[in-house]
Amino acid sequence: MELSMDSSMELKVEGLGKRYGERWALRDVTLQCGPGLVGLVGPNGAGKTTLMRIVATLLDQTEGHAAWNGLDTQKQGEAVRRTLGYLPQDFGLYPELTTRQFLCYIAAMKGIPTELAKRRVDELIEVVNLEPDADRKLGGYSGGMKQRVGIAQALLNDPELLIVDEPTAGLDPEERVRFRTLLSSLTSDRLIILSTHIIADAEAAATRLVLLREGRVICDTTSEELLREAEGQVWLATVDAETARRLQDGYRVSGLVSSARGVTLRLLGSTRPHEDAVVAEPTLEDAYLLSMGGASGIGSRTAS
Amino acid sequence: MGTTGTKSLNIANNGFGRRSDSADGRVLQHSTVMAGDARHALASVVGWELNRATSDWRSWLLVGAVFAGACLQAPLNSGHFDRDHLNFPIHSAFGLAVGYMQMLSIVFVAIGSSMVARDLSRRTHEVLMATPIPTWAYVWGRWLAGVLMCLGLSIVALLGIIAGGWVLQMAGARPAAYEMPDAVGLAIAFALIVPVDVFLLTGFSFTLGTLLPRWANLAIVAVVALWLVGMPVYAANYTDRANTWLPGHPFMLNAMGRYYLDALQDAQSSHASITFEQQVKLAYEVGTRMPDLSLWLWQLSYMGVGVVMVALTARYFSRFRYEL
Repeated sequence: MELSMDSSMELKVEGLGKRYGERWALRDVTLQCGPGLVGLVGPNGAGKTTLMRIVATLLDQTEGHAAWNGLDTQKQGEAVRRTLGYLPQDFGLYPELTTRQFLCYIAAMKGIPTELAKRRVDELIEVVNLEPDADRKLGGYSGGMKQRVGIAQALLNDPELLIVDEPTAGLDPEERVRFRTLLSSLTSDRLIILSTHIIADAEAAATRLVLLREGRVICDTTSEELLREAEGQVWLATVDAETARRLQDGYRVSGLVSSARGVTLRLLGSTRPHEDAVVAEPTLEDAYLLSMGGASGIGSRTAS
Repeated sequence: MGTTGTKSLNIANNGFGRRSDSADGRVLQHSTVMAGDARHALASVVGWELNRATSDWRSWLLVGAVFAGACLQAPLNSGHFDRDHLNFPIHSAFGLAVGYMQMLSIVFVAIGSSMVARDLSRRTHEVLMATPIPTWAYVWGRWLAGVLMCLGLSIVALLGIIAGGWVLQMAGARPAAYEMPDAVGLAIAFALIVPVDVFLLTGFSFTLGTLLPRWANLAIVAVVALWLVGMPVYAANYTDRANTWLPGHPFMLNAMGRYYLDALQDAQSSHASITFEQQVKLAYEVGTRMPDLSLWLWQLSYMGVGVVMVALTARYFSRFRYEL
């Protein structure tokens, strides 16, 4: 059976909510995504993982509905899973298997024919640079190597919908850059949902950013737009230690460097925080903090 | 990790049939997605579980321990053979087999309860549940793999018992103290004993371990306690003891004991006078004789209970795990 890919590839989330006991982990989330890379960004407990698990058919929602290519993720989970690649945030591997065996195992669970699976496994082992260790038991792997195996298993069925939850956790800077490049190269004719705490990852790879806070979407935009909105709200000021302490109490600080000249602060706010402060070029991290803090009012806006 | 610019993938021949994303054809491409083949799903789950088990050195350690323990059954028990111990068939191969099955029962329960529960404790559950493997294939496949592992261990135990008896006889230290059992008869008895044990015990423990994975260890204790303590109490109070013969169960030893004593009495009554040595010899001849298991064949129906338990598990198993 083949599910042919068409131009209507779409994830539609409407009024999605998830409640654990009395606490809402996700509330009234509405999204519509086509091919591309969507970065889900937000602090711990924002509901990113809950949202991804619902879309990945691993969790049922309390309210609302989510559909992938018109297939309801709750009622037609098996059909959705045929086109899904998923890398959980926290996952384990079978220590008694080698990388090659583990990937063949997951390929079998994904229903990939044996011969094709073998070829695919070889390709992915090369992509994640695990060739020298491919026949070593997973029990002896470092965290970063396990993460690479996780990435490879998610790509085994060449998924149309790829969901990766904190994929760069445990990877060293060089590996992280490589992984971002890999993700970017996969974006055409495919939807990738990337959850991350690392703003640089989202900045480098995502074509769209969805900011979540306390289970709600507070901003659905692009990096460029978010940066534009932050313009004029990032300030650099070099002051003495006493003034620095006072400014820290009154403003959000996204950077602080102490030197012989004094303390250089990177401050966020719509008004000039100090007479010596000068406007600085915002980074995505500045823009993110402004959105999360709601100081500039960016957070209340939702782009189409 | 491979740099996408330097790692080359064989896009054209990867079998997924989708085009490359980049002009140089070096990045992972996407393809027309292959749907999972449900026909092979069950076989895949069973096959890979067995593959995993055989890849684990701890499995082989368990196999070795079971074999060694079984080998030692005959030598260890023959050393205690005297007038006071003639009244129980523990010295016979059949008695040894039944007795050893009690110990293996605990292993069966542990295997059954962990077949799915360990995916949660190892955090492999989410990765597996995100694949299109059908729920029924996952549940039934895991249980069937557990059943095959238990049956395999039982065969190892049987071979160990026969080997231990054979070595004891060949050693020649006490040639009269041990008669080689009828190996075919023993195998037949085993074939009746083991599947009922395995299906019943793995069925219950699998159900508890799968549906209540956080309580998997407690499930092992509960099922073992029920098996070794609860069932004899139930059988003694609510069933006809003469017909109560749960294979591999303490109660079977009693049933075997009664059968053995009756047979021994019959054999002895044909002799006017009998020496202790003759008595010993006679006891072993009786003990190694194939018991009449036909009366107990109906108990094979207990296997159905285990199957029903697994069917219920497959029905109520949820891929959603809130505690993940």
